[in-house]
Amino acid sequence: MGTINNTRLATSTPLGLNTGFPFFPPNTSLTNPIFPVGIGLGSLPGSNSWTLFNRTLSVGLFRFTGSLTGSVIAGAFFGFNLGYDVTGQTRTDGTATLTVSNDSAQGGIGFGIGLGISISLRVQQNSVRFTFRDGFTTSWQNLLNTSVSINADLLDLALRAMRAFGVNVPLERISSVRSTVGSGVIWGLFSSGSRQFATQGSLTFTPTASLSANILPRIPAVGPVISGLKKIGGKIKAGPALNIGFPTTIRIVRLTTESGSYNFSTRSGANFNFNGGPRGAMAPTVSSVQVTHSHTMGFEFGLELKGSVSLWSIFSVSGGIRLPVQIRAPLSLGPFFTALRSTPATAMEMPEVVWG
Amino acid sequence: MKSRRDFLKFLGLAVGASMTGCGDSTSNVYTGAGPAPVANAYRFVPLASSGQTLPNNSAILAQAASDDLPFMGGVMLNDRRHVCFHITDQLGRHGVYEVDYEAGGQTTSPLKHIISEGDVLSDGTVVEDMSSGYLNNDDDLVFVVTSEAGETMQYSNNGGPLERFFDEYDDVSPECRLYGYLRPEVGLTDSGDVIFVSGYRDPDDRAVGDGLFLTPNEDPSQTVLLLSEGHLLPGSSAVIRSFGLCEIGEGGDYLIQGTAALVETDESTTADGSPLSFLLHGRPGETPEVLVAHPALGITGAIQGSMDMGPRMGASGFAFIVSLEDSRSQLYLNSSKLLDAGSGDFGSLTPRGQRIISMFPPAFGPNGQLLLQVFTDVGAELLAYDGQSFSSILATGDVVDGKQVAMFLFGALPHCVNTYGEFATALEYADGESVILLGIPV
Repeated sequence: MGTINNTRLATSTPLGLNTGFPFFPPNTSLTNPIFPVGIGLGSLPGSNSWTLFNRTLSVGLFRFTGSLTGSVIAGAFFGFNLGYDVTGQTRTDGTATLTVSNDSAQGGIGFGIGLGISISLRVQQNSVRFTFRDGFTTSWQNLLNTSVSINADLLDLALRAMRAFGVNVPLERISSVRSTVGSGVIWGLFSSGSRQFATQGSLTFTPTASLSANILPRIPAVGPVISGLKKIGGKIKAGPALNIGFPTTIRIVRLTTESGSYNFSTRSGANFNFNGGPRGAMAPTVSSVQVTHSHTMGFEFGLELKGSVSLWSIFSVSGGIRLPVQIRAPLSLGPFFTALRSTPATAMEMPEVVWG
Repeated sequence: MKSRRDFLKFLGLAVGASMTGCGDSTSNVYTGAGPAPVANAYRFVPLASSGQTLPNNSAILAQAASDDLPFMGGVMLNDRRHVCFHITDQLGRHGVYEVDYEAGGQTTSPLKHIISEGDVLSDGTVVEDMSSGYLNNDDDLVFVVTSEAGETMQYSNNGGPLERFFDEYDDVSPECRLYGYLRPEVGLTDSGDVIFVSGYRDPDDRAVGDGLFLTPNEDPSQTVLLLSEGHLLPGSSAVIRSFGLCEIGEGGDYLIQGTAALVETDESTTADGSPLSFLLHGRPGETPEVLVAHPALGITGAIQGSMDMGPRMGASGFAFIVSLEDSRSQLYLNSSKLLDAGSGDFGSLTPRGQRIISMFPPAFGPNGQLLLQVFTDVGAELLAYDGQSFSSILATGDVVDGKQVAMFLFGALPHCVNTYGEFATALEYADGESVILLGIPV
């Protein structure tokens, strides 16, 4: 019997979103899983800071100096991370048991684009002096000398602008992952799940895109109707309530040690049982643990149209129609196979994401 | 809308009426007719007039223009004798102004500006449009304000400046994560409880649809969800699909109008497109009761009919108009039917002997009194119900202040009668002048 000592298996330590598993890894199978890879895109190649202008102009007795530099930061991730603790044992009859705890996964689609702007302005006045000793001399006296630096979250600005036009883009500021990827602002579809292996036998998280808005004010043809109603105290509204979700479910399917592979058979709480492994004598302690998982991605879709017309508090006519396109589960992608092991992964790491 | 008359025609059509004016009262004091008058008579005092100067160097539109109305119809009145009303100014801007009066109506204050298009509110909101608003007896006001950035709920405490309550995408409280589609009509109690309808999302960020929310004591962080789209309509196999107008009373009693869909078929309208509407009465934490239900919903314990008109709540209960087929409707006070309205001989007769074609929602006055505007073959009439019978207060064709009444609009907003039985209404004379008219029982 070989003992599997308490081991932390994770896509990275600590868990982050630079390294993990892509949602759609190519060419994987139970015998050929993918190990953690970079799922975050690094900063733009080469320099990420540019001078827009740096100019000095003389205007009469004044001199104007101004400079403006900009920098761009960007990053993204597309996939999920995964981590959990295992203990267990392998047996001479070809069976094994893993006890899984502290499991968590988080992922989705996230990205951020930031713009840094530094502005420097100086206005100087030419002062002319005359002395018998030195004749005419000039010097420059500062009338204005100021500089300012700002960091703008371009996505935030874009989302605000789009929202002002009545479009609520289904992206959220993903504050919960900021600590894992840096100080920048990330937007995207994101979800996480934890401590589900023991209760469900699988780990599920559902990145969700959702949209709910009154779109009538943004449709020019409706403008006269809205303004006509407005003149007599009437209001009209209509728009969709849209939900799109990508439930991602991770399952443990194989255990591999230095002696061979065991296939998942049953589960009892946090204990995952395996069989079909190598028989016979083995070392008292298992030195290499690899756990292979499968993950699938489903698709959930719901669309509702709503509308209402009201006049003061005299009357209100409203209605809602759920469109018969509710889809759940039938559309599923995968399984894709991924693996974690206690020995260092050999996958190539992508450059670190630079945020902010 | 080409003129105020067109506007009034529009309103009439909305409730199935046609309007012409006639009448022969020649005094500005009209003696209430009918077997049990609510007051011996009413004295009428104009509080604001078309063309009147406004505090911001503008003026109320002098007369109904091609598509603008001096007084748009919305009037609110509270027990402090403060009146808020909606106007259009000479530049075509929509605004809400206030005028206060002393007991007896002999003294009125200068007009006070509340909110108008183009205003910049304390939170930076540039007002593009505002909802009808709600004024309580504590002089609190609440509006849903539309700006380029979306919609916000703005609250004025005790006559103070409007301040942002929340916007339509705020996480107001754990139960109230708004998600656009904030409805303009809200209810407000004297203790500052606000009831409203908005789209919201669940903890997993999925758009749920409409929710009915209660914000107690002017504190948005305590906002709770009362009812939601998707909830079962009590006593039926139907789920709530949308909400309409709502009302709230002291103690948390609420009325909410809405539509539902049958679970089995997912149908939310009849074959001809009529929504399967309902009216619910509820209290926070309790299962609501269905007061009115469309017959297709199969709730036999409820009054059968459609709920299009706004329900009203008062100290003596609820009043609502139930729509039937063939443009017929009925006025109910709690479970008692008071009036019929419709073409032919279906409609009840007014105290002046005119047959009622349609009705506006009533407004509650003191001691269980109800005031409502009805439309007849010959115009409009303002009726008062004292618990036993109706009397007539005002009608088109009456002469008030020496001028013939062409049309009036009473009850556009629920809070237009105060505890003294005084009421306010928008009114147009035959000469084209429009006024906000105060009716004082004498």
